[in-house]
Amino acid sequence: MVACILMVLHFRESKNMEAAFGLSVTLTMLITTFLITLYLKIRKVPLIAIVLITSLFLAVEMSFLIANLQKLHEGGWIMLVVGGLLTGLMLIWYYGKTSQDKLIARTQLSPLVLQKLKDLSTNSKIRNHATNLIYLTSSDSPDTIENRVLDSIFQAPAKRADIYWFLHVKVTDEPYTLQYEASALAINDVYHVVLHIGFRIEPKVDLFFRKIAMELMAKGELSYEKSEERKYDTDDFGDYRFVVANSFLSYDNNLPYWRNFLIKSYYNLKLIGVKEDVNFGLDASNVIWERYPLVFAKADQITLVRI
Amino acid sequence: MDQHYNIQEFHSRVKLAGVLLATGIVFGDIGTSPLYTLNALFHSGEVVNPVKALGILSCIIWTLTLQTTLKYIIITLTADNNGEGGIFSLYTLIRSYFGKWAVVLAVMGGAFLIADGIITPPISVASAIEGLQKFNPDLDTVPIVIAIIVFLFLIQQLGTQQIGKFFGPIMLIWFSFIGGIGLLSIFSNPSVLKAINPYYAYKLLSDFPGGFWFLGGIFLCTTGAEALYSDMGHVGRNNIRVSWIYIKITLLLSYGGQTAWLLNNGVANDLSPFYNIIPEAIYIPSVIPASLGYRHCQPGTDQRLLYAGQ
Repeated sequence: MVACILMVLHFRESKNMEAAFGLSVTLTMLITTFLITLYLKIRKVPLIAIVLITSLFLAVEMSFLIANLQKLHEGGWIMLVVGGLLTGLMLIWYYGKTSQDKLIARTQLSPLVLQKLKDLSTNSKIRNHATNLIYLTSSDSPDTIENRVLDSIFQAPAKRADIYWFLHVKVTDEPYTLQYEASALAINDVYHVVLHIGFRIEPKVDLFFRKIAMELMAKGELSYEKSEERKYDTDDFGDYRFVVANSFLSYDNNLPYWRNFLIKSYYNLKLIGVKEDVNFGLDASNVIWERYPLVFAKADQITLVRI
Repeated sequence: MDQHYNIQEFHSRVKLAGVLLATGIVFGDIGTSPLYTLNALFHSGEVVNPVKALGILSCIIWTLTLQTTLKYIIITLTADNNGEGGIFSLYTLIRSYFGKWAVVLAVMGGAFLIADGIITPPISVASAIEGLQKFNPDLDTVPIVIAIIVFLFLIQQLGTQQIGKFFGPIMLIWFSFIGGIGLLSIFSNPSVLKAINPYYAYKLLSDFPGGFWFLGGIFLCTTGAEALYSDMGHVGRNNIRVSWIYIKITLLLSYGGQTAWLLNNGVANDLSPFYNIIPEAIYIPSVIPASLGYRHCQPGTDQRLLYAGQ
């Protein structure tokens, strides 16, 4: 909306906007043409038809584009700048996200790890961190989990919780899906949940989680021990905390210039971008923030000498 | 028997409602193009050359046929992802086959789609409000335009379906109106019908001095086509296709009528030709739906944008 108003203030009259508008829409249409060509190719439309269709539209749109480029100085350049900037930002985001994801190390949730979790969960000598501790994970299988999640739980002081949840949010390619899978890794101690959310659904993960926990309790797949902490609480499943982990660029890095620039830009974007709790629809009162360093490329051996 | 009849009636009603919904949601953009397209091509005070006027009309007819009808209504609308359209759906459909380059294309497409979304409301609303300058040529339209844009963004939060129900009838009246006054104007100079012959378009582009550069303005008649595809998920492919038949006729009548006025008048003036063919008596009421007609403000919320790679 703000951008729209700025446009009105800059151009003032519709006839001044025509050049910018035409150029921007021509470019969008050209890109759609390219994508449609690829689409027709996978649909196995005869090659001759694809060539005909594509060359027809390319000819039409290229003519429009050339005519519109003529008016670049009449305001068309603004759209090129806006479009170029947005493209740049989105590509940086994409690049940063993929290189970050490549670095995420996972471990098997072996019986040993699960035993450790069960043990911690029932160890009444440790102060309880929360009744339910929910980790948002990128692992969609119940067998693996990111190392950083286990680190976050076990590193001293250990975080004890009655129930550990590993929650994976999967945005599906269908618009309105809303489903979940739940599996108990250790009954009443560790659960893995996959939420399938359609891309048009607002992800109110907080709300969905409560619904899932209620449903599991109703079906008898989950129950809470009566502990001293919960004696006075009338709530069904006590408190719950989402642990949201954000990586940051560690000082240990030694990156070539371009990668350094892209990755730093990505982290700067993250700072101003939409925050994960808003993104997932988590109520702020239920969120614990954690930050962990990421090392993309280890710095060289340093020579630090004692004198 | 009775029940069977009821079900039939029910289905035909749903379809009608769907068509109406489609009219309200996806065609707002293309429906305001007649306000400014010809205005962009004829400057105030310019003596109208019949070759140019007919050539441009012919180009518009064939652009709406090739670009909007063939490319978007017939071909692109078939590329849906479980009913959803738009550049990102298209990307989802092809990404497993093409990898990296498809990403770059889709990202660029998405970026320019957002850029379109930034400039479309200003131009649509501004061109509608500028119709008021007929009464007071010094009127400062900027504050009015901003107020209307803010209003449109506020009601957009009601949700697409509600807006469609509300705007459907309004847009239906709007299209009937522009078609009607276009038809009236065509009666005064039926020779504009010749422009259906693509030869006039060809002559303009190849022979008329500087004719090729008019394409920049002509393109404005089809700018709403991308929105059809992006909003397809809200209304359904066939509803869009059915309503397009009617809408295309009214659009062509409007452009034809405007051309007829240009030819009769012989000289373009300050106002868009669109406003010149509106009878005095209904002038003001027509500016109001024109300014509200536009509603496609931004690409629908697509969570995949936020979660790419999650």
